[in-house]
Amino acid sequence: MTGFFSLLFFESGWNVHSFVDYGLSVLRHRGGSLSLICWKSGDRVSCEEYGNGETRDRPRSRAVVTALLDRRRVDEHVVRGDRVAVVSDRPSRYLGEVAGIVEKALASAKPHEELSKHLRVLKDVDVPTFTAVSSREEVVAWRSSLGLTPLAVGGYGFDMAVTSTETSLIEVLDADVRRHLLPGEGLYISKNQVRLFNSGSSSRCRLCLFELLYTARHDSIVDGVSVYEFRKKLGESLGRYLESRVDAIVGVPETAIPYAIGLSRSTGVPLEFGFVSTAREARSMLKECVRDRLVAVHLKLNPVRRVLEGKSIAVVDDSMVTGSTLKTVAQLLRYRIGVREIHVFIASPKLVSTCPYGVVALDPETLISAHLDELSIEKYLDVDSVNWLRDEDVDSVADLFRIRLCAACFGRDLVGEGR
Amino acid sequence: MKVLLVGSGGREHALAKLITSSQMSAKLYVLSDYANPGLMREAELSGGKLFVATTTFPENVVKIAELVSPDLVVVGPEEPQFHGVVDYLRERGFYVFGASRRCSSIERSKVFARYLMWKHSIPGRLYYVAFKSLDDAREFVKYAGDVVVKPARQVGGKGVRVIKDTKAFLSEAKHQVKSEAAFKTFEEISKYGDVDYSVLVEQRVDGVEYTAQVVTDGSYVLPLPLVQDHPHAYELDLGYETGGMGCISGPGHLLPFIDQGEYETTQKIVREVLERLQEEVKERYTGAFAGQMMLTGLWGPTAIEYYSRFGDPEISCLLPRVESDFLEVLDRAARGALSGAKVGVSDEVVSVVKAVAPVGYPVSRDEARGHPVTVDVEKIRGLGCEVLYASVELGSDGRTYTKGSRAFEVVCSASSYEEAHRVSELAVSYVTSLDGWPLYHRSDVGSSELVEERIREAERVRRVYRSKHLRGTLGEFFTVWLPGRGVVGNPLLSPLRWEDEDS
Ligand SMILES: Nc1ncnc2c1ncn2[C@@H]1O[C@H](COP(=O)(O)OP(=O)(O)O)[C@@H](O)[C@H]1O
Ligand SMILES: [Mg+2]
Repeated sequence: MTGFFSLLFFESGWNVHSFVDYGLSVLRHRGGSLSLICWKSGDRVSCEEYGNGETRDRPRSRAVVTALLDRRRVDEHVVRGDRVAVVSDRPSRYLGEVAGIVEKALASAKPHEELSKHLRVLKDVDVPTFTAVSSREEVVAWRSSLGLTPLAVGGYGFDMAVTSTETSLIEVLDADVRRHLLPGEGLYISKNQVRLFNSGSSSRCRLCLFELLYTARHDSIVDGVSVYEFRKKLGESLGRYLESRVDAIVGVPETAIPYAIGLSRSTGVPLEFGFVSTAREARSMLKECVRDRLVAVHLKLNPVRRVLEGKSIAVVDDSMVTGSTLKTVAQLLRYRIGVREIHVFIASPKLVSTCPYGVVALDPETLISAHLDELSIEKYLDVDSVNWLRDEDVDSVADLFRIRLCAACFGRDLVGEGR
Repeated sequence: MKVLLVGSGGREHALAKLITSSQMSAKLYVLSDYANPGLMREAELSGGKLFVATTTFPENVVKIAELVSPDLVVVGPEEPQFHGVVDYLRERGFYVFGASRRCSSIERSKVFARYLMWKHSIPGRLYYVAFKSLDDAREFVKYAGDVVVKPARQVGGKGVRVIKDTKAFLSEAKHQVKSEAAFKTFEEISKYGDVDYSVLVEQRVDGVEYTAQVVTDGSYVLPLPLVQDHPHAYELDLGYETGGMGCISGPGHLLPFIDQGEYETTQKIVREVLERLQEEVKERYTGAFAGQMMLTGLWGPTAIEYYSRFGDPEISCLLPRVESDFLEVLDRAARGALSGAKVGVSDEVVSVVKAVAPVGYPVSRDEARGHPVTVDVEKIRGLGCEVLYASVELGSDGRTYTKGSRAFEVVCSASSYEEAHRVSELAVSYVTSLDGWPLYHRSDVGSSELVEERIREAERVRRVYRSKHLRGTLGEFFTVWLPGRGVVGNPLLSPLRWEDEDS
């Protein structure tokens, strides 16, 4: 899972580096081990890993595109020509074609019209959300006609325009969020023009449930939905599966906290602060190799002892992928703390399939719910019960927020329906 | 009745239409800096004529006035006022609608405007510091926090830099930009010889902007409906400052995001500034006056700057809404007989104005200049809209050419913003360039989406200023508490300090 942002400074004199640095740290939680920056270099565009001394010494550029990507799949995320570089937020085989469209459009007098026309032709093809930068310091940002991943636009005074996967990035950069782009909507930005264009959304467009569930920061707004509130509502829905008596609720840090707050609110069971994290970096699930993932899990889980000792505990998490995080948590609680009972609450349905759109890199071989039944999972985790949300719970929360979600990895490919 | 209108752009075209639609069967003469085909047509249709001469030379204007011997002279733009055109005319016995040189200093000098508000403790005032020397400005900027750096003189809608600075981790980059902005502003202002101060650094605020225009004869103040302008060049409020890319007005005297109480507070501020200004300059104010306001959390209605004339394009927004005889109002104001006058406005009608500019405006005006353009006036009228000619000039080949600024304004009205916005988008499509040079406008101006967004923004700041009002801290903003030094009560200062890059 990845994210990107683009900056265009209308006024001169800005040093882009601090914006790039802090922008990247906002996106870090989305996973991705490669910080990539694309910008004008001489009379061409160059893309390079960001952060080494050399990139910092670069002369100032008015326009930059920056992304955090999965290092292993960078070739499927980035296409760089001499005149434009295109970066997408999920791997795609259409990027070459997209780069051709962008390059041609930028050479015309009305880039936005050309972009709209040619991207429209691809409306029903799975072209990912992308951003592009040109050697003439122009930026294009376009949101997939299928929706799936978000894209927001912000502004800073009369000086700068920013587009970003997450609204929280715009705020952290001291800019103001203007609005999110709709599926199929794009923005052309140059010193001399900013143009919105729309190449049409697919009738199948949806928002990735995983974005709201896990990937986005709590402080982001996605398509008008507050991520935090959405999570809290799902947590509240978990209340109906609480059958045993529990004394306290804890959330697995730190994505699960809003769900735990929701569950506590709907059940009246007190929420406790269960763990202190030592790592501050990326979320554990998004690490690209098993060892890194475990290291991250272990670093974020030092338990707060006394409050939990001898009690029956509800442990809340947003999703269960391999089960390894929850396994670690359960072991800690049982053996190190000595709790009485452990009831696991997962604020989403069972993850059973890989993402057909490449939004989330899930290996179907490692999805525990796809391979073990509930009883076996309980046994493996060494817990007293495991409870998942059902599809209808998610649907009613989605209705509440008036959004249409893609839940393909939960076994319901709503985007692909009727293909 | 013979009227001489001084000025060249879209505002003057709107005024020309208001004047020629009067019951007083006006014959309109226009003195413009260039041959604006729209103004030319209005003048000729009324039996008058357009003259071309530099409008900032009082002698030029008086020469034409003596030739025409008008019953009324209307001076549209601020620059002729700054250059004493109004005074020169009045001294020769003409009735003039427009601010005198001294009265127009409320617009010319932003420092004077701020000073006046502080001197008389007028609500809605912002903290500021003004600089005569670049070194002083740069020294100050080392300590400056969340501020706006702007030219101390009116320079026609450019040069303002809003350097929001609320995150210490980005402050150093911003410090450099502030310093550079001070330098650029200093360069720009040194071209003018008529202000003491060059650089104005003032407290940054945010909220929703709107303009409150009035007509006055010095004692009676006649308020016009509020208008909201859109200063950013591009869609979604992105990009450069401009003279205004479009505006909206209505319903009634309010805007959807300004309530009656805020309207009244605004009028009070405007009236008080007018009164104090006349005391200060010891002259009667005759003409249009406007407060360019922002509803902020700091104060509620807050003054950003003042105009000593009608706003451009703000006045265009009123064109389809004014029901009574506007010329009569201008004339009565010029004669000091405004008392009891009214401007009838269609309350249920809202209006949307969109400026259409050649690409290149506002920063690459040379590229934006010299492109042949055309408008299908009949088609635009067929939609119930009007088109105003702004920065365009009649070429020797009879075609209309861009001059580098906003070329046209389309003016539409309807019973809802949704409808006015819809027709305005159709109307702009009838403005085209003949050489393929792209034109642009802001499609978001007047959209229900943007209006809703402003309503939300206004609600946010409304909560803040109401709470401040209750706690008696309106207008006050405390930056930081430095133990040992106390609370820094000057919102212009930052707790951080940046040394010069080279030291
Ligand atoms: N103190 C301020 N805080 C925030 N924004 C400001 C401030 N002053 C000006 N601005 C922004 O800059 C624009 C132009 O400033 P203004 O003083 O009106 O100068 P101009 O004479 O160029 O119109 C305003 O419309 C507003 O958007
Ligand atoms: Mg202004």
